[in-house]
Amino acid sequence: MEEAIKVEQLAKSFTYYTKEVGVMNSLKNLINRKTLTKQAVKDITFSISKGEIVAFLGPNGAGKTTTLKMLSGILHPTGGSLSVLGFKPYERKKEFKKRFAIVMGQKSQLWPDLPAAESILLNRYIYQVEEQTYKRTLDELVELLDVKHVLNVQVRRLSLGERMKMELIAALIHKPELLFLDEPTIGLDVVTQKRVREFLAHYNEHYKTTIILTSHYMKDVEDLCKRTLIINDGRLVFDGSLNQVHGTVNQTKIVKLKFSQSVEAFRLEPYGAVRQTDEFTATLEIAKELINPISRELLGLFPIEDITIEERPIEEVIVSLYNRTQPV
Amino acid sequence: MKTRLGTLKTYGIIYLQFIKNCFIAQMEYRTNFILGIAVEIAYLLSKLLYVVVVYKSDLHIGDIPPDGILMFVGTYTMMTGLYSGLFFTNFVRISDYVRTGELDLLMVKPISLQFMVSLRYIDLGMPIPNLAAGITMVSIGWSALGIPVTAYHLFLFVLYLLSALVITYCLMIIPAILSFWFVNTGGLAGIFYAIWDANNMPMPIYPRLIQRIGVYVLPFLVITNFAPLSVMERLDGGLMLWGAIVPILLLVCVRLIWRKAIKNYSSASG
Amino acid sequence: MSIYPKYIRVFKLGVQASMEYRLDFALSLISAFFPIMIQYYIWTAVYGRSGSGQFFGYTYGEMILYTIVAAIVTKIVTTNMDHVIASDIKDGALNKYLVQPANYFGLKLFTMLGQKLFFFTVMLAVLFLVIFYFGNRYAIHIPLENLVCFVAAMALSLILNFLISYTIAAIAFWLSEISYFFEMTGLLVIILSGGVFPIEVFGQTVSSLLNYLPFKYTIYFPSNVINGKLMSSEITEGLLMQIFWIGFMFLVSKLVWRIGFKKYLGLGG
Repeated sequence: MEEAIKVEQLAKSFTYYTKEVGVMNSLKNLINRKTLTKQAVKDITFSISKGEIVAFLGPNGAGKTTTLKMLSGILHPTGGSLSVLGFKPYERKKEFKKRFAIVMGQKSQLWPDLPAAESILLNRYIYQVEEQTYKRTLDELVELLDVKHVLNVQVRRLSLGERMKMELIAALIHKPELLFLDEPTIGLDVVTQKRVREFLAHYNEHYKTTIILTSHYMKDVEDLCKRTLIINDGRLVFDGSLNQVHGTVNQTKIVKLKFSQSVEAFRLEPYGAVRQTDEFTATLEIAKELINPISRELLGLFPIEDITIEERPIEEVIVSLYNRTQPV
Repeated sequence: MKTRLGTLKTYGIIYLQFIKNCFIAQMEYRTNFILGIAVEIAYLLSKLLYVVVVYKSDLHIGDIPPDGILMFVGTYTMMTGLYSGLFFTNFVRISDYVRTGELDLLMVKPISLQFMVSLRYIDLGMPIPNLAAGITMVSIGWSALGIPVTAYHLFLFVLYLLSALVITYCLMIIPAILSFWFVNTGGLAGIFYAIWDANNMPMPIYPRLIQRIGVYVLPFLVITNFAPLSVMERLDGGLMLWGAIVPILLLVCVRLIWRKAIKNYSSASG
Repeated sequence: MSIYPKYIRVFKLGVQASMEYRLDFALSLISAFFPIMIQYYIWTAVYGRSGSGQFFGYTYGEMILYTIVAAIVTKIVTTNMDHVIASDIKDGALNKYLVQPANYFGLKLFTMLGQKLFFFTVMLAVLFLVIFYFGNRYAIHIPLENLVCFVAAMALSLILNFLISYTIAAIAFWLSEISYFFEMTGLLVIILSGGVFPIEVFGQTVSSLLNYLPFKYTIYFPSNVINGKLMSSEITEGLLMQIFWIGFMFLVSKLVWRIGFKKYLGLGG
């Protein structure tokens, strides 16, 4: 498969100044400022093929957005090499800019006082899209996202979901080969989130557009992305599918018990980590390979009315991955 | 050459789009639009007080009579109008773009970032009172002084107005660009506005040293003095040339500072 | 009784807030210098050419001193309180003052006084230096009692100006778009108060009309106290007029705010 993005030992550090309050300190700072360096991204290597949908996952401040900004040419890397669609993004060539788009859930490229149609039209001129192509693309996107009726409504009056859909249309009007999405579903209701995900999946399949997204919502990632890059503390700690996450990291299962008579908590402790107990219920975390023998033993020893065995929720698994700083 | 023209055409179309956008947005908020005009009228009144003083005290500056001074005040008023209409809103927003990171979304557009940032917003209401009053004052002064209305004189006047427009852009954007490095540049902008107002009077009113600084170092005085001076035929060859070169020099300078600012942004921001 | 510490607290908060904006303040002093400079050269040109020693009833020295002092006084007495108060009205911040025992007017007055304390002191010092210097230069003798009266006039004009702003700010109860509005009114108030030129410049009709309005007692009057133009009887009369206008504006602001409040509460419930 052809490569869309190739990143090697990418690093980004910021310098900033400490600032103490007070007049004397301000004067001191003028003469001799203490510089501190923060390494936002340290040594990240990966490559992404054309047509893939990949998620960047990680806690706040892990370096996801910084990486995204380097890939789109907003930030200049301080180390390593990167190539996106055959360009060096930080050179910010016009030809490069015409081939990708970025949507940030927290920032808008639409002018709130105008109908979205106007901002989209402006993008048509900026990206120099032919009139025929523009009309066709617009009709198609509006149809797919079902926003035809609000295209000429002031953006300020749109719902959050409608606004996000308009952002997507404005970003896709020049048919980019590569789409960056930074928290695209943030703040949206569940139905709209689903709708946006379906749209992205469809769009990716239809146009083979490479999509890279960062998200907090596990559902975004589970539904959309076959591949997930987990970044923590500026490092890539996992690269693979989320199912694999279950396999490699998730070595335990959750066993929930319901008793017909009250059971004292300490009696359960020998069988696994007790996560929660009260008189008639208990939740245990038990190693995968021991599930069968232990559950049999429990059924024999305790007055068990009901037993369920579950996978650990994916969010939790990710959190345990976040805590790693070494690659899997 | 052909591609140059093509680019120019693209930018022209986009700028027209900007104007259209601004018109629609401002019509959404008509009260604001009208109040904006009202504020400008208040400022205009405070400036017209100077005209009152000039005529009431029959002020002559060197051998420039009150009617001549009126041409300078008129030019100053016109330039204030153009500044408030074409640049002011944009320059005020630059520090917001930097602070909120909204600049990120503008940086990825395949178009000059400086163009996008510094010319995006056009205010169609605010300049009306100043432009109307300015043109009136210039016309009154022009005819009272008996300056012939020839193509040559009009050409000169418009040429130096254009030069003034470029200089205005370059000088007034400087405090805004500095916001890439400093959090608060409001104070500096305030100083620039205050210097701007020095153009309210013809420059011969100031001592030699101030005139030199205002023409050669921080060329604020070029903005409103050269156009009327040129049609009054009080501008010698050297200054005429200088008036044409300054805008180009400044554009180059601003371009360099801008590049530096963007470089700083993309390496220092988080 | 227990409300007084509250006022002291907002006063102190005001002082602190003003200290945080020292740099802005210093820069705004520099920008205040330019209009003074422009007017200085205008008047020098005006007086330099003419043989007669007086324009608009001022000698050259008086005019220069007026220009400088008026610019500084304008800096001292103008507050951005109308903006602050208006946005309190708009965004509903006023609600929390409805239940607090200390009333809104008092809180804002003491915040303003706290904010101004630092500027007031610095500016007075600057002013006295200026007067000392120019007084010698233009041979204007300013008696000590004028200086004392000037400080009193300044304090009164600060309060009067606050009352004017407070009254104008009430317009936010009725008007929906306010951001531009106060820029306009602020500027008009400064012009009418004599902050740009002495009001004699407006001509006979307008300046006699201004005698029946409070504005000239905020900038024009104190500036003329210090440049030696007014007799001591005129000063006493002016001070009394300031007190009268403070009382008058206080009543007007009460009235306007009462009507405004009714509308405000009507909207709320």
